[in-house]
Amino acid sequence: MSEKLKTSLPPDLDLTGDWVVEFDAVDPTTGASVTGVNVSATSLLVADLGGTLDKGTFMLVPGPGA
Amino acid sequence: MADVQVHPTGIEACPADVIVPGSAEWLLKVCYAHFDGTGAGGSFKPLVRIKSDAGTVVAESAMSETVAAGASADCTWFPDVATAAAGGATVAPDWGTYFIDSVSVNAGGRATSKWHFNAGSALLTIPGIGSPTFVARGVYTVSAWIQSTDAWTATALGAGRLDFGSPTSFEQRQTGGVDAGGTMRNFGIQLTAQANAGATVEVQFENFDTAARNMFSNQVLVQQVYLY
Repeated sequence: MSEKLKTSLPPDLDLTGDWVVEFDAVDPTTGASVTGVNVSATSLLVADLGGTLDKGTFMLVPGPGA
Repeated sequence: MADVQVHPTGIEACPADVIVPGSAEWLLKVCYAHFDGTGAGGSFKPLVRIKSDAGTVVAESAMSETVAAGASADCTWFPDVATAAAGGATVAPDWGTYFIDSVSVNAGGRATSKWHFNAGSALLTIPGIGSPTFVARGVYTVSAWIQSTDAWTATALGAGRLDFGSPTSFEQRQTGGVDAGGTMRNFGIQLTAQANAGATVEVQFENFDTAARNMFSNQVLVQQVYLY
């Protein structure tokens, strides 16, 4: 069963083109990435400041070192 | 300015990126992901990392909880919402009672005596010789009855001194009179102060009579108010 966890983000986080929201799994002690963890069902709720939000499917893509 | 849900599809191994389209400007309000750790190489903390278009990290926010290897977690990040700070200060209003052996106090002099644990929690370490010390750092209230069974001169006084060692090194002194029948009226002395682990707590008996008098306490209450 999945554990429900919540934590904070900086306020007023304004993301523009080519900025990246990256999901990672890190070792609790060293902070190094932990292998073998998969991310899915990602969802972002955003205020569309530019009003030009691209329509269509967004893809979750491998980050550096994935 | 409508809120919009962006729903990237796919399953990716960590680290997995959502790249903001070139024409967009998003104010991030909520961020959610499912972390499947069934194949994880070890326990982990889910983390979201914000990187600018320069590829440098702007912010990282890791979950306070650790997910065990093999387990999974549904994680949500909100602006300005943080997990409550862990209770580093353990509030444990615990107590212990003690008694202090009778000791002969010279006229005009002071003396201490051996403490013994009576009941409750052992909040003090009692050495073979010398004053007890607090086991844990905290704020304590120590209350002691100052007593005597000797016949005192009617106008004499007895006193008790109660002090804590580091960091307060604070002392409280209380004086008690003698009944017409020559019995020193039992009186209480109390001190509340901060004490480090290993700090001493001392009760001194003080005799203002003209001859040596026995003094003791059969009721000392050590009340733990706060631990930190």
